[in-house]
Amino acid sequence: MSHPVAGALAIHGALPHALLAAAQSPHHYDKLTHAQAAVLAILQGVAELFPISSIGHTVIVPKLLGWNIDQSAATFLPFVVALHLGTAIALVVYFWRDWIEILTPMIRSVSTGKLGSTPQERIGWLLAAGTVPAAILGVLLEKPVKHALGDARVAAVFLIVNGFMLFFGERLRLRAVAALAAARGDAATVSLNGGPRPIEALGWTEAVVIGGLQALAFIPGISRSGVTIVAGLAAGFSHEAAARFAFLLATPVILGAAVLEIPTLLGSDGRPLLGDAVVGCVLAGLAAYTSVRFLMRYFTTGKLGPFAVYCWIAGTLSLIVVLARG
Amino acid sequence: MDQRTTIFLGAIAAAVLLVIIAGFYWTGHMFYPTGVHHKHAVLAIVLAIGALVVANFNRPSSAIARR
Repeated sequence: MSHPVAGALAIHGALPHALLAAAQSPHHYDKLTHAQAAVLAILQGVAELFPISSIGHTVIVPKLLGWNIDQSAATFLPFVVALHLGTAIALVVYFWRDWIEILTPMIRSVSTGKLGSTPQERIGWLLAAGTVPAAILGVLLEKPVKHALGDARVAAVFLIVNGFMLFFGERLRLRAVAALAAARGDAATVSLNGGPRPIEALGWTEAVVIGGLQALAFIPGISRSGVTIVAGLAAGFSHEAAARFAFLLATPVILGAAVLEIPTLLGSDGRPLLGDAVVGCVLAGLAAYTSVRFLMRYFTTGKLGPFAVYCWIAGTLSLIVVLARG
Repeated sequence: MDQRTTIFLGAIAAAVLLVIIAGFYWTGHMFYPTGVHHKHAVLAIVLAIGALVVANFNRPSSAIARR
């Protein structure tokens, strides 16, 4: 005998066979409530930009709160897409002046066929070089990695690992600054970007490597912004410059991934969640804008230490609770 | 053949290859991952455009003009 919910869905023919199969199985999942959608949206907007892993938090928090949500379900994907779209729009809005300064000379160069020499244009091409490996690895690896490691216990362990990465990132910066100062034969000087090395001084290989390292963030618990900020610090950037480069680098990746999935949002799978998706997009966008605004101010003087401590505590407590619940 | 011409021809070849890969993904003939993947196809097209931009910066005529 089929499950009554599955029978009702079959009559209306509103959902795909995969969801019907899920409803027929004894392990079917609850529908996302408006409150849960709002919490997940704010969580995504904040955790995507803070170096604390958004994927890790969206795996761990529902588990800790006892929410029976299948985040890999076909009907959940459009909601996630909307949240990413909101986050990307917030980044574009916050950095709109930077993007105009970057894109204007780039477009001019493409039209004339000659590379310009302004720092903004070089930053633009460095971002393009960094985005290519991130996009390729993202498209090829995101689903297999998330599918293989999308467990709250694994996410909690990697959140602790993320904390160590942030902690050692500060050490890497000290080494990089000392190496740059030694190479110049003077004490570490401060550039216009507030650090020993301006963003435009980054090499092409370094940009490609930093961009590729974003793929590590597909592991739940490892933060995309954390990885890129640490890589920027290791390259000799100030905290502010590393954060700026990380957020600028993340924008085309997050925006591109969201735009590619818009047909899913507008398709039959997305319609039941469209209301929640729109509200979630706005909430995630507001949370992301507030976060990036805070972080850019914080990193003028602040360091990664507090985020490392948070990751250690949150990861350890989550691991204990999840293991205790079985 | 100078370096600029080599980069130009390499970028054009890469663009053509990426368009072919995009076609394979769109029609489901690519070996990894198997199946129809429109998102992968769109990415391949974007990368092909990127390769054309690289080719544009390394046009042999541009090199001649600089000299």
